[in-house]
Amino acid sequence: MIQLVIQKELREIFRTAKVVWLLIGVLILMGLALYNGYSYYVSHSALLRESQQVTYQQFISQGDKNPHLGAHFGFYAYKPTAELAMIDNGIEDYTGNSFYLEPHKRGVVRFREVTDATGIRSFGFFNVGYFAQFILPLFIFLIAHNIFSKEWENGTIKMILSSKATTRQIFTGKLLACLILVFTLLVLLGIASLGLLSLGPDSNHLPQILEAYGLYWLGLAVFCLLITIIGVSVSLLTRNSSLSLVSLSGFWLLGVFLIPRLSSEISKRLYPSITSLEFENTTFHDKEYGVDGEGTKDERRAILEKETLKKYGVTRLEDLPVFYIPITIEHFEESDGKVMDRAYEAVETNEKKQNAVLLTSSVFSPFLAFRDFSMRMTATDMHTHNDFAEKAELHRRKVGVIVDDFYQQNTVAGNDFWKTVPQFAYTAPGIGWRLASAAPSIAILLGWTLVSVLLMFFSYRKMTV
Amino acid sequence: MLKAVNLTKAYGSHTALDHLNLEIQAGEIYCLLGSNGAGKSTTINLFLGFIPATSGQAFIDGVEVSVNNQATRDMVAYIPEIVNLYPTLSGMENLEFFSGLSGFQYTKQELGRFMEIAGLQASAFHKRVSSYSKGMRQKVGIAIALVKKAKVLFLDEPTSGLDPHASNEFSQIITQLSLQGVSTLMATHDLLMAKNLGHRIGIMHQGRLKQELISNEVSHVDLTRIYIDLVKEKEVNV
Repeated sequence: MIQLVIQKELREIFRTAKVVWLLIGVLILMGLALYNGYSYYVSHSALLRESQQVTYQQFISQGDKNPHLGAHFGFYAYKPTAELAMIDNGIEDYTGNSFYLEPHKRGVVRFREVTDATGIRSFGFFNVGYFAQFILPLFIFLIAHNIFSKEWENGTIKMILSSKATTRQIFTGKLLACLILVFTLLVLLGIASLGLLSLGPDSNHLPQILEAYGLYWLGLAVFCLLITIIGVSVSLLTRNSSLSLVSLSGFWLLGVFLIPRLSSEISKRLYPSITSLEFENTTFHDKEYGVDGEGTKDERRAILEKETLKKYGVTRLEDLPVFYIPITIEHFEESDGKVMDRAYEAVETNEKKQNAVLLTSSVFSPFLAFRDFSMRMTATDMHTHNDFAEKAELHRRKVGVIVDDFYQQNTVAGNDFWKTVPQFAYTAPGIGWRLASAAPSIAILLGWTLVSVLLMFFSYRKMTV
Repeated sequence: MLKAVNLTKAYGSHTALDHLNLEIQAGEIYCLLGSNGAGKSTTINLFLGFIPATSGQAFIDGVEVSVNNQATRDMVAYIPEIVNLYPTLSGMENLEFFSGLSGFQYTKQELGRFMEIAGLQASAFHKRVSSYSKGMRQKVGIAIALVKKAKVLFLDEPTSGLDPHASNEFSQIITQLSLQGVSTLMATHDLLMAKNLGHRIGIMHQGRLKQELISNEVSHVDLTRIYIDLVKEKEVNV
């Protein structure tokens, strides 16, 4: 019985000219999303890999220099393009992908894609993630909006309800017909993107990313399932194609455009972002005047001098068996580092609060919840970016210690020394970390799935004349 | 085969059907006459289980509709005034779908045979229903009733808008089905059709069954007079 309903629905769908045109349009968009994502991934990963090599090569071949001056030559810590950025590049365009590693200064993010882009980029980058988060739900609503309402409009509902088929069978058949169509698209998209991943420059990493890739598609399948159930249920509840279309597209507009913008404004008002000026003023003040009564920089310098003389059992700096300057550099590197850590922690805490507001708003929008899940699975979210920034900073300090230790004994460093400074290499955290980080959005998505199932049970009881 | 016991349907203060008591035997054709809003379609909808009764019971072959609607659905076929089918499917595909929904599996040949019995030309079998006339749709509706092997037919103004030839063909098929033991409850405005086709005629007005007549015992002229008098009388009283 269910199979019969599925067959009939699919026949009707494929014989409706506007639906066929819609499908063709969606397939073209899907192809475009795949192409865009792939070309972005290939060009970015190649550019970053090359830049990383070039700047590091320049650093280790800078020749004989004072070690500290040589350290200031610096090099870049690049965040490699996440393999799954081909699917969803998340906030990569906004966070940038590199930190400059040099003494005293925590790296400031550079090379944000959006700074080179035109205003059109504000609409988002069209890739598989964009397609799945925004276009696919709209397509599902366009397919599902009249799957039931047409029965009332055609008058066929009486014929169906006077048959042997139960309301549950009819609902299941119609839902499955929509799902077959949607999941066929998903499978096509999944196979095509997997194919492109295996063609990409990091295809040797494919086995490592399959888990995240699989979970991404599982999440997408759940998302599409809940969207389809909502579409079919609303079609049944409204019994009117126009009303159903208006309701569903309104829900889409609300979830995709209005709620994100509104919640973004609310989060900024509740937790105003720390401006560059505030950040600079605070860190400058804390570096110069110290925190928790540790005294001004001059006072701390005097204490350091006393302690160093005492440590080496001498009365004059000139009598020290090591160079004193690297000791002061290392000392203030550490204390300034603490100031910077505190300042960055404040920024990150504020960002977390803002993100929490955004995530809370996804209680009203499954699109937002899936977007968050998608970014976390593809490691293109803020959380992963902060992890990268943290590891890049640790690397910068590690380089500082290596250089300062060398500087205490030597005033000149050559290429043999520079080669001992390690290259920065970042690997995004594994699937367990990503899943833990995505737990709130997964919970919200599951909540929405439950709501859609309840709506389904509520609606099919309304299948009467 | 069909039985209504004090069957009542009210929408707020408006009573669409008021304590209907009715019994129809196997193979009997019962025509319900009445103007718009008399309660004819409400009666059919209650028997089909499309709407719940406010009070009273409806039975089909001894099974109470409100208690086991699934079982009563298996026994009935319904042909509305306009047989609504899926316009993008052919007549054959529509028939295949509805026969399948009724739990019957037929070959294309068998389905074609049902279509022929219903009077549809073979050349139309595979054309999309969107190109069908009302009469052709009605024939597909009959074919659907035939494939279901229904014990009871509910017809709601089935010949409205059909040309005399198509209407006559339709009557012949209903008569044939009656001879095979199929009971029919038909709501109609057509007095001549009711007189010629029905075994019994019930005249309804404002939700009440006002009078029952045996069609063989009343002439068309008398039926017309009785009908007009009943309706008029009530309207004057109102």
